[in-house]
Amino acid sequence: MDFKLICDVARAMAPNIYAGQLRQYRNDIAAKLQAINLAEHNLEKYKYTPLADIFDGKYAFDISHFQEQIHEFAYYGVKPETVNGHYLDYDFISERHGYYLGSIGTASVRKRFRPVVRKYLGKVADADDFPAVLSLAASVTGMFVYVAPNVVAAKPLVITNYYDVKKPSLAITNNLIVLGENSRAEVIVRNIAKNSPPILSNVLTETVIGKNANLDIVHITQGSSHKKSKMVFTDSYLQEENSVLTHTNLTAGGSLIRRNIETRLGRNCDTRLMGLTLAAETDHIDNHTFIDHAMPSATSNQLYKSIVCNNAVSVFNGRIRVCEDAQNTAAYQLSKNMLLHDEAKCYAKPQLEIHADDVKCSHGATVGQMDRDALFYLQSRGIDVRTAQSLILSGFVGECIKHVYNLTTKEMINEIIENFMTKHVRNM
Amino acid sequence: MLNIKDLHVRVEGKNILNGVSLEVQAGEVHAIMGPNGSGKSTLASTLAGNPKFEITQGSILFKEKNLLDLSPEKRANAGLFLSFQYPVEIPGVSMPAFMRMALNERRNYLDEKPLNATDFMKLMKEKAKIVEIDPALINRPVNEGFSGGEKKRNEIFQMALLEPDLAILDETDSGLDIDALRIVSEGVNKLRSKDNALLVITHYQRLLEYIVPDFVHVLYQGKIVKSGGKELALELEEKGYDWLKN
Repeated sequence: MDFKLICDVARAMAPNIYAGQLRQYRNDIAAKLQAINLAEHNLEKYKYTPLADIFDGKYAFDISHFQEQIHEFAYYGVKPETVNGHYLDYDFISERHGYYLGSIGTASVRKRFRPVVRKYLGKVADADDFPAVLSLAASVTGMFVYVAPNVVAAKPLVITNYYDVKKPSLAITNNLIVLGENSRAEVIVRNIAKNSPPILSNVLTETVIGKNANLDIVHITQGSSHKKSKMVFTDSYLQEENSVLTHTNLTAGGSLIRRNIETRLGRNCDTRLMGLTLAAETDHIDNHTFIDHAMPSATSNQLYKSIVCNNAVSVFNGRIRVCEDAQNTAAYQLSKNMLLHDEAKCYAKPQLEIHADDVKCSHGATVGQMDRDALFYLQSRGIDVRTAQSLILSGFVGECIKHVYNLTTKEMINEIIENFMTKHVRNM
Repeated sequence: MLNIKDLHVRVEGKNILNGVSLEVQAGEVHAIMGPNGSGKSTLASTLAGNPKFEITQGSILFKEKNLLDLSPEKRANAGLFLSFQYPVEIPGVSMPAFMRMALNERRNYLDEKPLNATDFMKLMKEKAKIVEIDPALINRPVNEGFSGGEKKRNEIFQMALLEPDLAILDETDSGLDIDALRIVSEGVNKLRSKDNALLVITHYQRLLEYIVPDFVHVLYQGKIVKSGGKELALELEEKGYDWLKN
């Protein structure tokens, strides 16, 4: 792909996405992007999902059907925040339930938000990692979410991103979420991609969780099964002292989905990363977490599970770094995977780098089939095979979504899981 | 109730049962004893329908029906119950949800109305008393984190809920301390009636002091080599199995 061209087109399409100094920043990072050689970039990190394969093929920015689609969604009673990577409420910042929500371009020129955008944009993500660099250099739109200090958001903020294109399309966005000190928020992000034509999306979301703040975020992603559809997400967090992050990530299908989840922990922080991957047919779903224990006395817990059917592939790479100063760290990681068909594959890889000595760390990974003894046990009590299988699978996945407190979201997740099982688990 | 004729069973290419015949009538208690590896658990699992066990010859009638035609769940619905030697842990599957489902399948088979959640919880509490199982345990996921003894109590607790016609207890005594053994045995005795039957598999005579059998059979090398009354168990306790092996 021609990344110079992509940067130029993005700049032409969205000349005002960043204002003032940030324009210069964008030019600099665009130069950095063009200098990256994908065939050699971060090979270990992208071992099972090579960047050169993801960013390959013909895709172009497309906004031609934008208005028409907005009407379509209105007709179905859905109000998405973005369509094909374009933020709908482009020119204003609205306040709802304690959140300021607007485009990053608008925020960068508003007096109140400008300092925040300048301070954090491009500073939270790993600005040497290609997908992050791509979003910073060539995004066309992005969302800005702000929760003021000491505010407890009244309701969850639900962000729906739809992808439904008319020709092979590119969607590049970068979002910024900032939670002020002592604030508390719950965010639910739904990503839904229609099956055809293919979409290549690259989304960077940088999030700052201020001192003593608490963020509960749930990502629900239903990818496209079109062979050439690819979705790359980078969720980067900066956690200030005493902050708490709970990140739940449900990915149900998608021909290629790669998600990087990275957080840098301040003193006394707490992080929970919960993941559930449901993969079938030829899906390829790769989750890569990185917990950077940079400061002392922080705790992290990771639980990632997957159910893999047919020829699908599930990847979990969990990296934990405990820096020299990060004494009194506790970092736990567990990955459990169930393969339901002979050709299904799973790669589970812990990656621990420990430089401090007063540390509690553990990691574990299991890959197996459905427990035949458990199945027989349930059957022997009078429960038919199908119901028994679905009980075992529900039991297996339940733990991953235990931090989803919002009932509507929980119901939605359960429905997605149930649909997946009905569709793919029947032919075991 | 149960009529086994010339049963031959193979597991992973190895013949384990070589012609077992056994008849159990309603109201009877039969004990099956025998040295390790004689095929006792194979017999229990085969009756419950574990697909690992391949029947190469013979027939089993359960309440006049051909048992071998029925899937494990249909056997359970029809009133057959296996108390597992090694009860399985099923993470995340809650006991009440699972048992209500199981019981309602059984009730459906018996043309009885399904129990709603409230009535079921009442019944569960009542039945928990029979084996003195901690009510906190039965609200947990199936067997998860249970001790060996708790798992065995949980088996009999499930038996109490399902009220089977024929219960097969596969080494229910193993892993139980003396007090637990007494409580569980008394629980089993409370469930006995003239309409149901028990098949008790055990290594030790001790269990049979509590659950007194009408018949004792010795299984050796996949065959019943001796049958007798309850005094046979005492004789085995005293002499071991060697005198029967020839």
